[in-house]
Amino acid sequence: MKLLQRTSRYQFVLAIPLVIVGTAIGYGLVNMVVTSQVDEQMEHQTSRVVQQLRAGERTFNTSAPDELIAVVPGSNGPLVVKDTTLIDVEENEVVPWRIMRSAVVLPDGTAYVITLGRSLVETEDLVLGIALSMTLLLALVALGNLLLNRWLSRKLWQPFHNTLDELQGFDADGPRIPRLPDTDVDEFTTLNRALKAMMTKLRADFTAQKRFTEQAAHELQTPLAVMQGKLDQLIQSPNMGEAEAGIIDGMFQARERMGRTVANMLLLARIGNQQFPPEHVDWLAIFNDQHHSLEDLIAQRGIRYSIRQDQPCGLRLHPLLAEVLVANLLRNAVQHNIPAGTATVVIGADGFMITNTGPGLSVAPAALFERFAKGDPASPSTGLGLSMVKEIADQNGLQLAYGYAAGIHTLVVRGE
Amino acid sequence: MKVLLIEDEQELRRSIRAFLQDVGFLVESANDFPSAMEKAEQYAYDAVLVDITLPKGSGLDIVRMLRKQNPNTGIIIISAKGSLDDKILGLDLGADDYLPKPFHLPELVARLRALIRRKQFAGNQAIELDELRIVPDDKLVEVNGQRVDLTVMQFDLLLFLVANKDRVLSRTAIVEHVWGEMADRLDHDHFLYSHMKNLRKKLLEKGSKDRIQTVYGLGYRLSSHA
Repeated sequence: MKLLQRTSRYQFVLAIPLVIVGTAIGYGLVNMVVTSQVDEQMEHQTSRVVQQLRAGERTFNTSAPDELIAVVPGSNGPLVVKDTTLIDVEENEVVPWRIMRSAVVLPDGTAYVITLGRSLVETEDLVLGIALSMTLLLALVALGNLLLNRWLSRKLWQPFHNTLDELQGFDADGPRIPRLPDTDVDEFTTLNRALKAMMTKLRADFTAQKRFTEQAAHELQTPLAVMQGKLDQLIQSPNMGEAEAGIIDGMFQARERMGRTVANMLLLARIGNQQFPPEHVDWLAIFNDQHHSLEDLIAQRGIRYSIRQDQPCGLRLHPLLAEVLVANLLRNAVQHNIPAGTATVVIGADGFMITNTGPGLSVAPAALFERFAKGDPASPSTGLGLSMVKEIADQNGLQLAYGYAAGIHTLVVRGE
Repeated sequence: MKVLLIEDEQELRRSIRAFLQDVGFLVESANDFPSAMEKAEQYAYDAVLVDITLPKGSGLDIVRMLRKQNPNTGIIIISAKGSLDDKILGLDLGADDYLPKPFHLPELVARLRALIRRKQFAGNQAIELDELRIVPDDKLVEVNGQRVDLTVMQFDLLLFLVANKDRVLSRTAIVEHVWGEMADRLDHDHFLYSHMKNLRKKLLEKGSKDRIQTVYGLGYRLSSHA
């Protein structure tokens, strides 16, 4: 969920109880004020009636439809104020009333009970009206707040989103350095500067590491050549026994493996250095070439190999890299196959696809293209083949897609 | 045949020199740029093996000079691998071949022989070994004048063995020569064995002497005096 959605959601959740409680409190307050107003009026009227009673008047009437007045002799109880409902005969509906009943004793000793009533129909409407407009107002304020916040965050967080966009395009190995300019928000400026420093360091480290790999691999080649030369000389010795031969053969194998690892490391380090500009290549010819050097292996395992070119493939790549790419993919398809399995290559205009039968992966598909990821740790492979494929693809704008289903591995190489 | 070896790494220079002398080359060597230039200017060589990175200069300048001086001298660059630009530049300047380090000495011998043959005899020279006759450019093999039909791979193998006759060739060197340097020897042991068996059988059938010997645990050798 986006940050903005999240804050909006919280604000919304908070606004609902706020509006409800605010309305309730507002309603209660207005109601209280209006009721006390009515009570006060009735107290005034009561004192007026008492005066009139003292003056000798005995009949009290009111023509107002929302008022009641009744003065009867008697003396029951103290002052009572209460809400009640009466039935309006004309309209035939229940109407809320406020009733005040008080007792008074005149100087001549006669006692009267004065009952006054006020209809609350009008006041209730008023209170409701006020409460409703308050609700509306509150809701409007909440909504306005929400919108303001959205707009503000969008505006305020814009530099942050710019930073995010720039960061997504970052590649320690790529040609582009993200542009992270200072903003008018201090925190974002600090963030951008920290990120810039980090990325600069990352790039420098990466380049240094790559240069180191390259130099190390380069430096290793001369001692390897010396070793190879000595071994080639050593086996000419006429007095070689079986035991010695076995030892020397082990050294030959180790030397061979080391040489291949070093060569792969060197190539890996160099792929990103723009030393291999892409050009048009004849993919079918490259596949046929590589197939040729695998023919024995394919025949031995009884693998049925087929290649089909629907259309010449337009992917551009340096011929040397294309050769490495195809060699690794084909060798993989043959080596990780099953006896009497199949390996099929289909070449199309915008890429090619290699499918082969084979057992499921013993490593996670995501780790397939990692360096030194070997299904079998004891295998003599360098574990660099597929990482080289990936490096070549990454550096030349090719896309790799791998899938495994029903005992078939599928690898697709396509332009971006 | 006279070869100039220009290589600054002493142990490698020693190995190459000894190996080439053992198969019959006359080897002169130089360990830095000035001495290499001096020798290259003063004497004529059938072939020059030159390392690119040298003390006090670049092997590429030697290539340039040699090519100007004598078009018939074969030039092989032996250089640490990965200097792709060096390779292209070297070949552009007129080097005939490029052998990246680390390489097998028998591979160097085979390339050297092929190069000299190409340069001096326009490739027409046949290689003869008693009853055996090979014309590399025609891919032709004869035993006592009788043609032997070989596959491309068997022919490759035979040529490699003959170029290094009486030397023990490790299986690694043969596999790399035939299947390319990235080929895994363990994967190919089996194929090497059967190709070698078939080659031997075909030669024997035509009446050749049993020249191809298995050197136990190590590899193969083609004997010139079976």
